[in-house]
Formats: sequence, C-alpha cells, structure tokens
Amino acid sequence: MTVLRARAARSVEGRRVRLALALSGWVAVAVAALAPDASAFRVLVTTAFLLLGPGAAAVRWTRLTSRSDAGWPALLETGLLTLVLSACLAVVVSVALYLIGGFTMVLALVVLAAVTSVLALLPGERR
Amino acid sequence: MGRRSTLTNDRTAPHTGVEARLPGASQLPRAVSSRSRTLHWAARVPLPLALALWLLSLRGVRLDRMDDLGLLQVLPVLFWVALGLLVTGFCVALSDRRTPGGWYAAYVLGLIAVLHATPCLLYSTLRYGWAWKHVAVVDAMIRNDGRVPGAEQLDVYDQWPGFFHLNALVVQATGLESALGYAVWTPPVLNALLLAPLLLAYRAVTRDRRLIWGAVWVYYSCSWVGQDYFAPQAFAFLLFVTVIALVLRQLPTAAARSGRPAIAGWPVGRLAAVVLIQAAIICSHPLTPLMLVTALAALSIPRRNRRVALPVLGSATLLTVLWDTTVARPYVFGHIGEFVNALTEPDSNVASGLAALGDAAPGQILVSWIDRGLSAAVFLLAAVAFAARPWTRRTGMPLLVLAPLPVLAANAYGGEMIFRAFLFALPAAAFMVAALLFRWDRRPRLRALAVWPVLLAMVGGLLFGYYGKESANRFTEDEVAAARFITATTPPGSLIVTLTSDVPGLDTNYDLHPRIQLNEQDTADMRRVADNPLRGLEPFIEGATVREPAYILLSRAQEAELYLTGALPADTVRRLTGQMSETWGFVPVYRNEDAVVYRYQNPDNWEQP
Repeated sequence: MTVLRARAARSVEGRRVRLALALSGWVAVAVAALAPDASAFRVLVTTAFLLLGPGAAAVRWTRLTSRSDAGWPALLETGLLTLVLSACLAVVVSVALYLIGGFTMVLALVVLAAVTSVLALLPGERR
Repeated sequence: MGRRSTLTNDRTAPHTGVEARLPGASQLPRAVSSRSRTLHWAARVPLPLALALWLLSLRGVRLDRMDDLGLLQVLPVLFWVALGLLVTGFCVALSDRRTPGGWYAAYVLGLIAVLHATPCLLYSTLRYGWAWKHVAVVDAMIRNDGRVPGAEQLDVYDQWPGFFHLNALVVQATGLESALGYAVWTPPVLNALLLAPLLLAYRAVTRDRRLIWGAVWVYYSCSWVGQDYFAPQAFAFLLFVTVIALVLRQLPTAAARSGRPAIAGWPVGRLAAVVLIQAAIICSHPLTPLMLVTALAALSIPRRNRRVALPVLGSATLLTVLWDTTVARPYVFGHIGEFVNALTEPDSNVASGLAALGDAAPGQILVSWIDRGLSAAVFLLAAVAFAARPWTRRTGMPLLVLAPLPVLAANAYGGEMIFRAFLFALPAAAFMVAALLFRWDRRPRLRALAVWPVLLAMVGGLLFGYYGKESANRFTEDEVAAARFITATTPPGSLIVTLTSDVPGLDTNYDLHPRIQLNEQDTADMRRVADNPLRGLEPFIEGATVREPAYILLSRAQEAELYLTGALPADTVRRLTGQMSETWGFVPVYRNEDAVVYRYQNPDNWEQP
C-alpha cells in the first residue's frame, strides 16, 4: 500500500514537472517579447530556458542517462546532457532559421518552446 | 574485489583502495588515531586557506609592469603560495583513501578558479584580441541576418556559424547590448563545465577514484594552449569531449565493468542525442569535426567497440561531408589546393607552429621552450604509461592520444595545428599520465610526496604558457576607448591601419571601414616597415582622401605584441609615432595614455571628392 502511494505521489510530481517544462518555453517567449531589454527578469528567464529547458525535456523523453551507472555519474550525465542538448538544439534551430532566411528571435524561441513542449508531454521512450 | 575489469572485460585495472565504497563497507572506526585525524585535516584545511590567500593576493597587482613574462612577473608571492598550497592539499587528499569525492571536486574547482578566474578578476576589460573579434562577429551577424558579408578574413565564420548564431539568439533573447558582458567569464565557466565530460569519460574506464581525479587534475595542470576563451573552438571542444564521454560510456565493456548487462549498440534516443551534438559541432567549427571523425575511427579499430563506435563514426562523417559540400563549400573548395599540398608535406605542418622564435623577446623564448617541454613531457609520460601499465592499452585511451595525428599531418591550420593536436589528445593523455603517477597500492603517503613536485612542475609549466603573453592579451580601458573612437566616430569608408590585431573591438563595424594590418603583409612590405615605418606605411595609405581619410591606430598592446613575437622591431610603434608627428598630412585626432590615433589625408588627393 505504501509502495502504491509513493508511486502515485511520484507520478503526480512527474506530471507537474512535465507540465512546468512544457510551459517554460512559452513563458520565455512572453518575457522576451514583453519585458524591457536586458532587465534582470528577462535575462534570468530567457537564459534559464535556453540553457536548461529543451535539454531537460530531451533528457526526460529519451531517458538518456546510461543504465550502466547509478549514483553521481548518472546525475552528472543528466546535468551535462541537459545543458549540452539545450545549447545544441538552440544552435541547430538558429542555424536552420538563418539558412532559410527566416530567423527572428521570437520565432527561434517559439520553435524551441514547441520542441520542449512536445518532448515534455510525449510519453518517455520505451526501453 | 582486489581487481576490477576495465573496458577490455578481460584485463584488469589496478585496485588502489580508493574505489567507490560499497554500502556498509565504509564504516570508519569510531576512535580515529591522531595520525589519521591529522591527515584528515591536512587534506581539508589547505583548500579554503589557499582560496583565501589567492583572493588576497589579487589586491594591488601592478598590471602595467607586465613585460615579456606577462602575469608571471607581476603576481605577488602570496599567489604562488596559494597555488602551492592547493597542489599540496590535493596531494595529501589523494593519499588519504577516506577523502570524499566532494573534496576532490572542490580542489579541482579551486584550481580552475585560481588558473582561469585570475585574469577575469584582475582585468577591467575582455581578455584576448580574438575574443573581441568574436564578440564583433556576433554583433555583425545580428545586424546582417546571420552573416558577415564582405568581411574578408571574417567570412570563414559564415560557413561555420553555429557558435555565433547561438550567441546571437542569446543576446537578442536577453536584450543585452552585446555578448561582451558574459564573454569575459568564458574561460573559468567553460573549464568548469568541461569537468563533467572528463569525469564521465574517465569513469567509463576505471572506478578508481584516485585515478579519475588525478587524471582530471593532470588535464587542468597541462592544458596550457589557451583555447578556452569566447570562441567556436572552446564551445566545440566541450561538445567533442562530451561525445567521446558518451561513446566510452556506451561501450559494452563499460557496462560489463559496472556489473550490469551489456547493451548491444545504442538506444535510439541516446544515439539521437549524440547525432544532435555532432550536428552542433559540425556547423560551429571547421577543425573539431575532423578531430571527432579521427577519434571515433580510432575507437572503431578494436572489433569489440564497433557496434558502438561505427554508427556514430558514420553519422559524424556523413554530416561533415554534407556540411562541407553545401554550406561550407565556398571555403572548403577555395582551400582544397592547400589541403592537398599539406597532405604531401606533412612534416611542414608539424613544424609550422615552431618557427620564428629568433627575434622574440627573451622571456618568450623561455615560455616557448617550457610550453614545448610540458607538451613533450605529457606525451613521454603517456608513452611510459603505455609500456608500464599494460591494462591501459585496451581502454581506448592510447588510441585517443594518437587520433589527432592524421589531422596534424594534413593541415597546418595557420601554423598552430600542433597545439590543437595537443589540445585534442590531452584528455586521453592526462588519463595515461595519471595511470602512471597515481597507482598507489602501497605507501600512498610516500608516493604522494614523490608525485607532489611533478604536479607542481606541471602547474608551473602551464602558467608560463597560459600567462606568459598577457602583456599583449590584456587591454586597458584607454585602448578600448581609442578603438571605439576609431570604429564608431570616423567617416564610413575611411581606412583603419594598425600594426597588429591587438586592438580591442577593432572589428566592430567592420563593414564600414576597410582595415590593414601591417604585420600580415608580404615579407617585402614588412621589411620596408621595419627599415623605415613611415616609408613602409605610405603605399597602404596613399589613396586616403578628405572624405575617406586613413586612420592609424597605435597602442600599448600592439607594441607589446611586437616586442613579444618580434614580427616587427619592438620600437616600430615609437618610431612611427615620432615620424608621423613630424610629417605634414598626419594629424593626431585622439590620444590617451595607452593609444594614439593619427588621421592622414593624402595632399595629392586633396581635390578629390
């Protein structure tokens, strides 16, 4: 019974995290569009999203952390991949938009927010 | 428990008593002996003490006294005491098998702070002329829809724009004026981030904590090349090490080592992540994809690795070819002849970064020899480890040490390929060195004492290479003001002339001003400048008119660069300033303590519109 309760609590918590991840990009889009240039709030929100949002959603969806390790290596890998995949997704989206001549800051953020939402809301990859 | 399998799954890595402890196996006795207690504190106290001394040492450093040894000759004794204490504390920590991993991490982060945050804290402006150039490229790409049109030497960035487009997005999303504010902190932040993939890569090969943290320490103690500033190379190198770490962790023997069932090949999501990282590398930097392909090819040599290494080798090769034949085609096809020539003369590429030391400042010759000595020592120790530690032969690390060699033979990369090859080989070479130095089965304290001077020598050698050129890498606010004057207030179309590229922000508004850098001209032109600076300058500025005059910017960092490298005589700045002040047509239009700007209008062109 206790195990079931714990599992249910984790499930609720997981759903909240996924929802927060899915919304994070759209919050960043709104802040970037509306908040004054270089205000602390805008710098904080947009930087946090660009550095963590897309990567966190990708790590969650694909359960990227290697199964060959547990403990600090798994945590370290999750943190590293969150950061690196966020940066890489931002690079790929920006380069692609610039190459087709359609880059605007808001559009790039919208694409990243959409990718983050999709990755956050999809069921995790099966093992 | 005494021996543990490595990547080979059939050879074993040594167990040294500091491996991750199993639950329940680490109950320390309640009554710790006084000797152990002393060791316990001796491993911990040096870190906060060293950091406090380091911060204290940064007060009142006279940066204007830097000469041919850069920061080395102005940092106070307290700085060196702090650094020595840090190395000593780390050695003591390694000798105590009970030291928690968190303390090793704290020591390494402390070393990163001392080595890489010192210039950030001391300087009031961004360090490195190249970093200023990259900030200007980000700015130009924002203004020109992601390109740097008509930028001559900068146009290579059009073909590998990933890093710049990422920063263009960050700058616009945050609303910052430019990347200048955060670019200053790139070296310490990037080195701290690099710690994660290094740890993961070493952890995939061994579970010996002493070996893992020792290898990390050796890496940071020998990484003198200085490719950690705001640049595509720094970003791509972090991604490169991440890919290598992911591949090493996916190798079937890495899973077997941890006692869990091996996974055949790649899970789809994990492979997709690696391909995404490869894509970001390939569109960000021309050299790193080649290093990645050779590294993955080297890891594919052992048959047991191929199910993991070949798919990512295939994706890296395919993406590189695709990019180089499409977006990067103008650059790649424009330089294909140079690549072919380089392939036929590999020895010239190897030697290209070692030339032209004859006229350099005396301190710089010493710096160059120490750089080379440190690099040679790393490879020598790695080779000894290969012979003396047979278990390392099947870890993949020796293959990764050798992987940059084919690229070294194929391209001079502006004369610095040998240093780039060292950079890419260093993560694996550091592990080999650690395998040699940190196998302490018996008498760990005695062995720590023996290794201590080696670690001190490594850090000392690094500082010669990393801090030795700081008189040219550091810019004063006066120099920034002079560069801003010339790039922002002079008429569009006017020519900007400098002796070297050591001008902060010279490339800002590059599209408004043609630029000439005298130390990059033909040998004959440079010889004329060396003999008589004004006579040498005249052919370059004779087209100057009233509407589009020429501006000659001379500054402290340019003088320092010439003194350090000997590319032109060290007194060229002084002689040229004296000649211009006595010649009709040259008018000083801006002057401060560290820079002067002369405007020149050719009298013969006076009537031209």
